[in-house]
Amino acid sequence: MLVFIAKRLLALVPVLIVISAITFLLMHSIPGSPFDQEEKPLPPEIRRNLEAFYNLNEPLYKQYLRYMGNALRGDLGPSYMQKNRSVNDIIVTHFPTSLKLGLFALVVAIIIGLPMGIVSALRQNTGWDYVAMFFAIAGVSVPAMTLGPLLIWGFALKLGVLPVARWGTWQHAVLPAFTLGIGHAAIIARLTRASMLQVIKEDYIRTARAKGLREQRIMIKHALRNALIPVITIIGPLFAALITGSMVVEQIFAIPGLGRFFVDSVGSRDYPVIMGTTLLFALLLVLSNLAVDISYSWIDPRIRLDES
Amino acid sequence: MFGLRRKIAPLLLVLTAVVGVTAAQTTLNVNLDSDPFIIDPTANWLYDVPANMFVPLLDYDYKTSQVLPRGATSWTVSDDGKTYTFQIRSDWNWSDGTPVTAADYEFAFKHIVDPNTAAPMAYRVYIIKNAKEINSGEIKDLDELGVRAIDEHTLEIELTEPAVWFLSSLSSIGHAIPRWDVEANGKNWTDPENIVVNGPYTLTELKPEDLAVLEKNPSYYDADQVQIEKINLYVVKEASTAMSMFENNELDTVSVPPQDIDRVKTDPVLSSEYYNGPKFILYYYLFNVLQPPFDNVLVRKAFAAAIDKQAIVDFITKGGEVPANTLVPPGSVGHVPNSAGIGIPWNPEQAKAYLAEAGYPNGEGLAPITLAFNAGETNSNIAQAVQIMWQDTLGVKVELQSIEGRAYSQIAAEGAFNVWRMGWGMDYPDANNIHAEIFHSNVGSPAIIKIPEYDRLIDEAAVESDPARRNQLYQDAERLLVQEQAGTVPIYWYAENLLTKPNLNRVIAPSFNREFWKWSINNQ
Repeated sequence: MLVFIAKRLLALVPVLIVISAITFLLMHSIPGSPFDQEEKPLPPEIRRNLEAFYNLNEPLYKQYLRYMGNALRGDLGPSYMQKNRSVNDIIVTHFPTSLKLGLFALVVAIIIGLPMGIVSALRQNTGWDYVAMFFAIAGVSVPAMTLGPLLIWGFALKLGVLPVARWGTWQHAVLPAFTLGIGHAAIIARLTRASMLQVIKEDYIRTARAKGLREQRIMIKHALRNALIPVITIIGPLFAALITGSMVVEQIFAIPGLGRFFVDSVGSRDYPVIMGTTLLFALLLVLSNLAVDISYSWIDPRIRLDES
Repeated sequence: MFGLRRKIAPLLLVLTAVVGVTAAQTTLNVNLDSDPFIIDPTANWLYDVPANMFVPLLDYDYKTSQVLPRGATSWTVSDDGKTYTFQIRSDWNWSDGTPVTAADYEFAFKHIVDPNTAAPMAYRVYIIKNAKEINSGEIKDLDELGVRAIDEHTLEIELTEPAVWFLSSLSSIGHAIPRWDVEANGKNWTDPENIVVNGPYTLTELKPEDLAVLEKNPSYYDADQVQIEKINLYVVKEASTAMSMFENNELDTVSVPPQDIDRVKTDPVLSSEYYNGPKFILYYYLFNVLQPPFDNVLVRKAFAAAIDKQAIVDFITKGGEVPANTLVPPGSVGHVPNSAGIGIPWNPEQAKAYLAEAGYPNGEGLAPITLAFNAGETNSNIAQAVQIMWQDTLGVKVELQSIEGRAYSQIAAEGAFNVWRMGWGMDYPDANNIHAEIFHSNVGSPAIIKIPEYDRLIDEAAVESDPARRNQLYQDAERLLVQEQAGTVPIYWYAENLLTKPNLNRVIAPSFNREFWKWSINNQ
């Protein structure tokens, strides 16, 4: 197990280097500079000042090497837009907020999605199944930019039981976590249902019933554990996406997370922030997948991680 | 026992009254639609937070179009119009007790043009001697800048040429900053624990992308007149969320999103809290005169006359915008009202006649033209409406191009499209800000029209001290550019749509920044 983990962590280095190179080339290929303004082109002398200030007048390979040299020392560079702040500071300040929001959303997704999927599978083609799948489809179909304002209207403006926006208390977290998590709950529900339906038809489930085990024990100890493998497979990347891709929800609920930096930095050509947030996402994705792989061996003892 | 009650009851009444009085609202809650990430007023465009913490030389009265004393109490101009001498207010300290002096203003202007500051708005002070040369790196010595503190309270500014508009521009640039704080703390000098201010408020808390808190600065020279003690500025970028916060009494004032304007106007409560007024922002289209068909003035006139601007503001923007036949927004010096009859009004028959005269009757022979705009819902909706107007009136095929923001202005300025959309928010309320900085041949995009006579009119207006003559010059310039040559098509002037709680006395001026020190809360 430890060897497996060590190998995966070592493999992270070339992965991040390749991602950084691709991202660097892509972002410099987009027209427009970090200092262009929408309403008026910048005077040439000011553009020259700004580009010299940030070493953007150097050849691309030099800029890349300079960036990677600093990054390896833990310095992800300054933000062009937020001149007083470094990318490190931006990530350290805002990532914990996105992490909390993502975790809450993941809990919502699992708490709602798993039971919904299990009930659907066990009550296949009954009213329970149809209602659960209807909510699953609705959850996937209604985008956050629609659901969020609807929830604000209902719970904040009409009922007055929750605040409209911002972050800080558990009450602030309820609506955004639900908005972000419900779509993923639907995905988990559908996947759990499909997976359970497959597992409960297996021979060992029939054997367990023949042995006289209680149905509840069969479902939870035997069926669910095996049905969870495909579900856990998606929870890893889902987790990474939730904590880094919450830009719409953060915008609607005025949450000072990292999500908006992912998108805003591309629009504003804030190159260091683009690089920093992309590398962070890549790191989270790889670590999440590693956690998923490790969890396989816990759920299914037949899986040995150090076997090729 | 009853005797004790009789003694306590009046005491309780008094205590309740006292508590009721002292529970009056002294904190203002507003939203910011972007993070106040650069607070140094010399390093970036001016936003609400620095505008309420630092003091420029002058103020501007939008009702009378006059400049007023602020950091400077009086000023003189030399006979040649190139040297301004300001008397800086005395008996006025920074928040750390250091007296405010002319040297603080000198340092501020130098900081703006210093290449190391990388200030994107430094070009606004290029009228000052050697400012452009220093900012571009040609001159290395900041002391060569034409700004000098003659003594503790006298500041001299030397221009490259006379500029009648210069004083009004000083209401939004050139705020004094504390040199010792900047030198001691570098870029962190604006952190709440380091910041030193001379304005109505100081920054006591800053959570990036979340909250900025301003509290009254007792050292401000006019602190007695500042009525609101504390301001919470919440960073809420989504306009509809801010609107919900206002309706939930979490904000005291808010800008109304376009989709809510109709609802607000008909709501019995919100309609009484609603304000609609002008803003100093222009929405306009430009023609690419480097290539056919818009190298032909008749074609430009035809397309200009085919745009129904009233329909655009009535059915698309719906925010009380004003259709514009000229460029400079109302309230600015040099504004030419629509009633002056200058410009090209909507006239479909005249548009068709122009096009036929140009050799393209009913659009025959005209290649498809491109209409570009920077990506956004309003721009897209307006462009689609204009596309239909041109197709129906002129018989021309129009292709729309939506371009992502950062790349847009540079690509458009280089002539990538036949027609493109632009907007301009006035940096200061003077016509020079539009004419000299957008359309003058020295600075304008290579693809737009160049008119030597127009340049001459603008250059003359920049130095003309007689207001009547100056207005006439700008009227002639607009007639030439907008009407006779149709080099550009003004579409509308923006409007402000606000909601304000009844107990908030909000002083509304069409400038970009909210001046909280002029507001008050009525607790009666």
